[in-house]
Amino acid sequence: MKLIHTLPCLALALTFACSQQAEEPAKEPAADAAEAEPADAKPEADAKPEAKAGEAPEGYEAYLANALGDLGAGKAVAMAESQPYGCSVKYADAGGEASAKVGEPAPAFTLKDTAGADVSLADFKGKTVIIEWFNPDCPFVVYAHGDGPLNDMAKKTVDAGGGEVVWIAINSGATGKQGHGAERNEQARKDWKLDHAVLLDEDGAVGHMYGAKTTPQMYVVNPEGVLVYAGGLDNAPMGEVRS
Amino acid sequence: MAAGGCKSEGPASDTKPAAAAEAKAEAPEAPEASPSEAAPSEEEGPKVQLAFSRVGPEQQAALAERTGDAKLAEAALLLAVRYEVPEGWHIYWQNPGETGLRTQIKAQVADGSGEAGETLYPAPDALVGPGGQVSYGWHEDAVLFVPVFGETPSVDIDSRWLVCRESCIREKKKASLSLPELAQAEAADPLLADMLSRVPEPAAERVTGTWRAEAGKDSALVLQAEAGAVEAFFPFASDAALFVASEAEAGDGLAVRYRFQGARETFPEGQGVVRWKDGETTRWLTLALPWPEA
Repeated sequence: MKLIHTLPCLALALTFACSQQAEEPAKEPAADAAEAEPADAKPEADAKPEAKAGEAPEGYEAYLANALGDLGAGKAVAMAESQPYGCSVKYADAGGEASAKVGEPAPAFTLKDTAGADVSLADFKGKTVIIEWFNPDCPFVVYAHGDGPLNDMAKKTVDAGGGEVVWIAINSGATGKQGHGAERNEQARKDWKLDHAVLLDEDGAVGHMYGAKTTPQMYVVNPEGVLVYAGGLDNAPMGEVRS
Repeated sequence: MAAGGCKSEGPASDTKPAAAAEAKAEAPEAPEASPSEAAPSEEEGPKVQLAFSRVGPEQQAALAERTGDAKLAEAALLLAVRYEVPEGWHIYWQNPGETGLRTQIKAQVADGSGEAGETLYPAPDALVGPGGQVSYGWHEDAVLFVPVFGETPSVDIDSRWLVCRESCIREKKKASLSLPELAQAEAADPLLADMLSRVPEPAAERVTGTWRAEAGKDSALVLQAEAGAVEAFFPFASDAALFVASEAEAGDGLAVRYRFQGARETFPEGQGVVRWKDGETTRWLTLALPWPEA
């Protein structure tokens, strides 16, 4: 286990510690009892990349970590966009055209976290902000937070950022849809030991504004407030390198 | 992981040799449920059933001729793997698009007496999600094809897929197929005929492409058909040549918009598959046009 997130060892201004030892895996979150569809199954043991521990599967690209590395080194992000993958965001409606564009100021938003407190993008002016589109019952999210790259990436990235890096998750699932609601997302925070806030966007306005299609889909806003990365965590849905 | 055996080694496999095997997929692992909560999908069992057969020699030869696949013409047999998908559910093409996961078949000849070729993916339909996500797959039942070479008596199949309606379930199936016992697929089966017709052939001169600079750093590949119309485009997966969208173009054409951000040598060999219609005839054509100069 724990193959992918140990890979990108970036000894740059944003230093990611590369843990090689096995750790206690995150617990599975509970299913949402209100889910009308059968709950998504979790990924399976042998769905993991076929690589030895500590080695990247052939062709693996850690897009998010690479983007943060480029930023930390004061460079432009080389691969600023990639194909997002995962579950569809369970929106209430089809929404309109996205206004967020890579290379332009990230659209402002204010949403409530799972405790009901307002959180705004503007609160983090001058910092690097990583935004993770989130649904705790999506099997791709379950994989990423279990054996996949998100297992402890948020914590390590924020810790290494020395107060200059913020990670937030946004759930744009509508009321009644898979993985929605303050209670379910607060439980996921506990289960996966997430220190960062999960913001609730039940009408989908912020998700549509950012053009978020899937969970987990990732965005990075630089300290100047410009959107510098949008896309997948990497090129390996469920740990399988795309070809 | 906690309760479901995510770390268990060596999942039980159905290794029973199967003639025209109507094999049940392995049950999906337990959904994310705490022990006190009901886990409906666990009790329901797998969503997708697999059935294996061989494509008749005439249909195999016709496919090899149409697609210009000389190797396929020499294959000992063409295995048809049929995914029986419940009403309202779908599985995904080789590039699943904005959501989903590739349906995958690993086929192996254990004793080295032959080899299995690459899976042939019939062209998909576009599946549009409620949030506007565009994915590629097949509504309900689908058939993938695997050529088998040499005099091998058996082939081991390991298939994985994600089956989705509103939400998704990951499933898999292993089977060891005894080839002499494998039944021949019913040639008149409309699903088989449809899926065989969707295995794409080279576009050759039927579709031309010209590159056009677009707003920002985007480039569009403008596709026009010599005759008929280019109806739809299904891209191969690439982040270096990132597919943005395809839009109708005047003259029954299609403009495929790309964002180039990686080195040219990392671009895929071709662009993807188009659905082309001429009168009553629909064909699926592989595009392998030159990428524009850097």
